Amino acid sequence: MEEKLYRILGESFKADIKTINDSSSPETIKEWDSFAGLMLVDKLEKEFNVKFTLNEVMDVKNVGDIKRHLRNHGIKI
Amino acid sequence: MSLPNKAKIALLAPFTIKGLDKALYEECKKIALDAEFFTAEYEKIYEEILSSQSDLKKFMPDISILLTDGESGDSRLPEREDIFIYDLKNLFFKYGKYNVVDDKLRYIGNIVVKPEYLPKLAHELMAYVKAKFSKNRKCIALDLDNTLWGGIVGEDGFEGIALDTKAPGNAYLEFQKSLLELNKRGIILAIASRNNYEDAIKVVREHPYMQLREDNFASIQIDWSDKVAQIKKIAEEVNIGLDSIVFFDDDALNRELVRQALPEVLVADMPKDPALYLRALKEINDFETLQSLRGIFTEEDLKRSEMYVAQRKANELKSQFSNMEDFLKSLEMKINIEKANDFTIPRIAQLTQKTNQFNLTTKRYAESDIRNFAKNQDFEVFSVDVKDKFGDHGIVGAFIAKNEGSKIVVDTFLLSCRVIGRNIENRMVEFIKEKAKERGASEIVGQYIPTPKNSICKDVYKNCGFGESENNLFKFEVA
Repeated sequence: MEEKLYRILGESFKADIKTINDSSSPETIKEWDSFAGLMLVDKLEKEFNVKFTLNEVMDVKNVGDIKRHLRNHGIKI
Repeated sequence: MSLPNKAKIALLAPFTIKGLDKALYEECKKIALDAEFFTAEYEKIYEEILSSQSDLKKFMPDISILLTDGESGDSRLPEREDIFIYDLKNLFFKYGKYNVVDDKLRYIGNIVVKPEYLPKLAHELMAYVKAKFSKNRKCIALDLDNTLWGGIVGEDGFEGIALDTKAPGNAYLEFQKSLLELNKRGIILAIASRNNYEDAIKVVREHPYMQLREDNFASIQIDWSDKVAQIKKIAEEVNIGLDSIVFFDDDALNRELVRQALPEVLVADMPKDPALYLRALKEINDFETLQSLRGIFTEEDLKRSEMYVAQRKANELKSQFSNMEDFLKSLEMKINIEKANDFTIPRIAQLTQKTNQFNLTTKRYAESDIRNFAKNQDFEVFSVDVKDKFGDHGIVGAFIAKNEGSKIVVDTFLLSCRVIGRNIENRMVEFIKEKAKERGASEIVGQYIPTPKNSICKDVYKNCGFGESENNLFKFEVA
């Protein structure tokens, strides 16, 4: 599952997967602006078949947060 | 308007439309149109639209489309001739608002259309692009068996075909009703069917549930020649280009045949299931004009179908005459030339935008341009309408004359392709000569600007006694 998430992150932000870790954030990934972030939300929802809430999305500050919220929706990651 | 190398399209929206330009670029590519974009979002659009020195103005768009989400109903945005408004409620109606909008994305990022619906939105906007760049189409060529009705009339018989209020006949019935609606607002219909003429025409004439009758078709090709030949014949009879035709046929082989032989024709992706015919028809957004997109239908639009049928009947009559003069006499034509007025200006503008063949200068004008000419002392704008024994053809010609000192310069001179070959142009030139005499002008100057499509009218002035000088200019000295 982690591999899948990293693949999506890599595609969404045109970033090298090897450079991504839990603390990766808009500060460390160049392409991660607010719009790209929302496109990522849409993509994650489809790929993992989940629906995030407004507050979950607002709460995300880094990749670790994304994993935490995916876990909330029953994804084993 | 000559086709620009790159279409300049401005997209404006009070919400985020990032990615829409990319999606629209792909759609434009499908019709071989290279496009570049200008995008303005949120509050910035007011400044762009209202300021005279904005980046939008500098971009000099060929067309500007303003998207609204159907709810804000913003009064700050004026109705303007150079900006088209697309209301997202059309997209919502088609695909369901709950599918198109993710409210979470809307609250956080003002994204109203989810990314996966951007290609669909782009497809909707192509109606404007096609109309603007003259890539729209005027005529639908229709197969009969298994297209307008279920079954094969030659095998199943008049009573055996499916066309009534029960399934599956009702699917064909609704498809026909939708075609009839298009026909009423000016889309030309034609038949291209491989059939025994008597079998098929009997259904068209007598079947109680048939919605489209002989008088809805501008050309009727029912014989055993192939579809390619039939469609060519339709183009010839109706006098339109192949690139104005959309072809509907349930038979995949026929579709492929036409696609290969006549790439200009748009071959509709006909689904196998007749339940989906109606949807396939509604997905085709090639029939709009810049006016119809604003909900404006000129009288000519509404009468066009009738006029094309009148033309078919005139052509049938023509084949009975060996002498052109006798034929023209038998038509009992009445040509009326009058000064442009509020009722005729929209049609005159439409003619300058659409006429490609019999158009001596091919200058494209918006309604506002024509209105300005009509108001200007130095210009005179005239419309030409024609009646004959088969009906009223409405306004089929126009010309614009400019007074330059003692000269009269003909800026625009055009005739609809429907009435080419009736010597109406001679009457128009005579009229200009009479006017020139009245005004005491010394000379009339006409111009022929060649395009790939207008060679048919290159000799108009020569035939009317004008002398040719260089640069395709023709001069007539008023006695």
